[in-house]
Amino acid sequence: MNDQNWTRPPFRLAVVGCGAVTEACHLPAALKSSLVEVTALVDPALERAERLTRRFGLRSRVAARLEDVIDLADGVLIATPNHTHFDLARLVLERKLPVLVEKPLTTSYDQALELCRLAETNHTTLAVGFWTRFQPCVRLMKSLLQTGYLGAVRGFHCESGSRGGWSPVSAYNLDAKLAGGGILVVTGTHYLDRILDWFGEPEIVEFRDDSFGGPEANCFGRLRYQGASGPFEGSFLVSKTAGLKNRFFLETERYSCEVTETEPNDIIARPHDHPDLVLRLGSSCLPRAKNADYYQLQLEDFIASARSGKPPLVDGRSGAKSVKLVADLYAHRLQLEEPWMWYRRPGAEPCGLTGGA
Amino acid sequence: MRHETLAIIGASGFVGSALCERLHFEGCWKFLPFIHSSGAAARLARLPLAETPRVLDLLDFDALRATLRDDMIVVNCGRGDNQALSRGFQNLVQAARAAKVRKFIHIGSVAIYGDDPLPASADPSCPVNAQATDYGLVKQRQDELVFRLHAGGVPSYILCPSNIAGPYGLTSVGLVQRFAADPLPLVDEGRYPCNLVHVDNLVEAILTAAASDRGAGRRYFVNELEPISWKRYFDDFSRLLGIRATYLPVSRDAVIASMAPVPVASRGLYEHARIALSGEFRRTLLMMPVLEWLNGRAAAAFEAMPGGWRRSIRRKFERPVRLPKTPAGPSLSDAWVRLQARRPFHSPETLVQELAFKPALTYEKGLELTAQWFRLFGIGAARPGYCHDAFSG
Repeated sequence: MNDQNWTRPPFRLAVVGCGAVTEACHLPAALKSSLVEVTALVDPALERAERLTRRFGLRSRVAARLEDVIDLADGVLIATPNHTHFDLARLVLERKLPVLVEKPLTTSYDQALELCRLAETNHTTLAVGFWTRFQPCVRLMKSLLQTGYLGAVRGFHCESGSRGGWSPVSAYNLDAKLAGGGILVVTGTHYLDRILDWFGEPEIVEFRDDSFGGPEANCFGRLRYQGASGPFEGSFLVSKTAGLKNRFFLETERYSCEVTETEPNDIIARPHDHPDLVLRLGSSCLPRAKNADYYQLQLEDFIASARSGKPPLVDGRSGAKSVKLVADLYAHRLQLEEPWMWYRRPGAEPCGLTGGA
Repeated sequence: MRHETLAIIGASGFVGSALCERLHFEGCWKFLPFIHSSGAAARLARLPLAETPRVLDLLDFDALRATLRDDMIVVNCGRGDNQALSRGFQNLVQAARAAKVRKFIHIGSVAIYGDDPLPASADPSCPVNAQATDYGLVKQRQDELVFRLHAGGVPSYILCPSNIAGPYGLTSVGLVQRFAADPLPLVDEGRYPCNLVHVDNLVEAILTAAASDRGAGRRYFVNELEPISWKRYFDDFSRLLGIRATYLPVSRDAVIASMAPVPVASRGLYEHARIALSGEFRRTLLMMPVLEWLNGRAAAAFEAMPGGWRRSIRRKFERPVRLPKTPAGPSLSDAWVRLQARRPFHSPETLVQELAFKPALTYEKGLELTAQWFRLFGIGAARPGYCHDAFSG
């Protein structure tokens, strides 16, 4: 939290979109923060907004359209179906107001660039909701890579998976067009954002997913870098059908490192010259908390940026790079082979119709 | 293309998704997938289905009644909590009866025979076990409702698998996790039948029942055609996955003994008083202001007593601290151990005889396809960076 913010009146926030992520994450984070006053809740389905005001005992104005309440806000948080981000964010930025947009920033790279240009022209904040960037281990890893403490990067692999997951109230996740994609966008972008932040923009070697027209449930990709100390490759696997351990392995010249969702404060490092040694690398400069609310840290970072004019931790350009990488990956898309679906093979004998008398 | 429409309840689950994928790619049936929520429907959402999965709450009878039609064959693959399994299922059966659906196919469970099924339960007409687990009792009640629905004029089938394995399946994932953990206890050399059926063979049984015009009103076991022992299954599966399975021998008698209910020790007046005076109990009660006030008064009265009285009262409630021994040997309460202690083979013979069921996959092929799914997650694949412990709990 920025100390200078304490003495100022609360930041008046309008929250657009009253679905699952707002109810579970954004609104609790805003209500816990002493820097924020939620002045408006917006959702085309007014009853959703009204339900949240009742649930959290709020006196915020509710509206079906952002235009009707935007004058009540110092800034806007957008947590709506992905395909609506662009129009809503543009509306806010045109009013020269700061905006925090839930990831992905937009569903197309051109739109993302347009929002970045608008924010820059109007000298206002455009932040993107990649909350995992606020985890100390993620920030520490960037610092260690920049200083070369870990030695040259040899490769990485990350995997993330859960059976099921978010059930957006509008069920837009069942439609690839509305969501801008499948699990790559929903979950994979958190890892892509981290990869972009740590290593920069990659060359795509391979991308496969299991879509047959709808949003993919599983995807796998390989990326290549021409590192300063030699080329290296990395891979990622994201699943919405298998519970995985949600971790990032990094192999460097000196260490095998692991960053996990369950231990957001530390990097687990195994030095190559002492393979039986397990080191926990933590930073004394970054806030460590047992149950930190990263949505709250993200919101307070956004407010600090809006008030100071300094860029937020995840700015629009970062969000745009992520949108571009997603688009590039989909452009390279190959079908994930699923040999266990034997009935997809040409000539597979249809059964079932022949059963019975 | 058949005239009837398959209404698949619980379409986003393990069995429901496998069924929908098969139906989509084969294109022999019209089908409508019904789901509880969109979050778990990832496998369905990726398909360009003619009908988008519809959210349907089994607890909403009116919605169910408005959904079901007389040209439908209802396939119930739904799971969920006890309320969904009990009241939701009751609604589903009533709505099916009211809509006069063409047929009702229900996925039952051998849990109806209890944790230690009798040898007689090798026959699907064997009476159910009144001492079954809570889940088994709920499944018994569901079966009763299905039989009543059949008697009321809706041809109904109960397909009863034991353990369902295959790609995406929690049973298979659980076994891989178990292989990656401690040595696996092997009950009586792993000689009893594993009763693990590949999900595609269960799907085949569903489609066989859907297409059949005879054999309704019965319970059918769905299984591999021949019994496969646990040892064989473990060895074959771990070999395909490239995992070295290690075993610890345990006897079935020891497992059965460990399943006996632990008698609850009777607690006397002293024990009740000791709990009432314990810090934990009082701290909980003190969350209520009136009790906090009373506690303050009682504490003040206690502190006002002469020291000797206080010490005497404290001594009266002192009891020796009992530290339980750390158990030696493998845990027998492990689900993979208990399953191995079941002896009957739930043969699909009746399904074969009555409905001309033919499994879609042989045991070997099913296992091989399951192992191929695991390779996506790096298990059994020679990719760097992957681990055998990829799966979360």
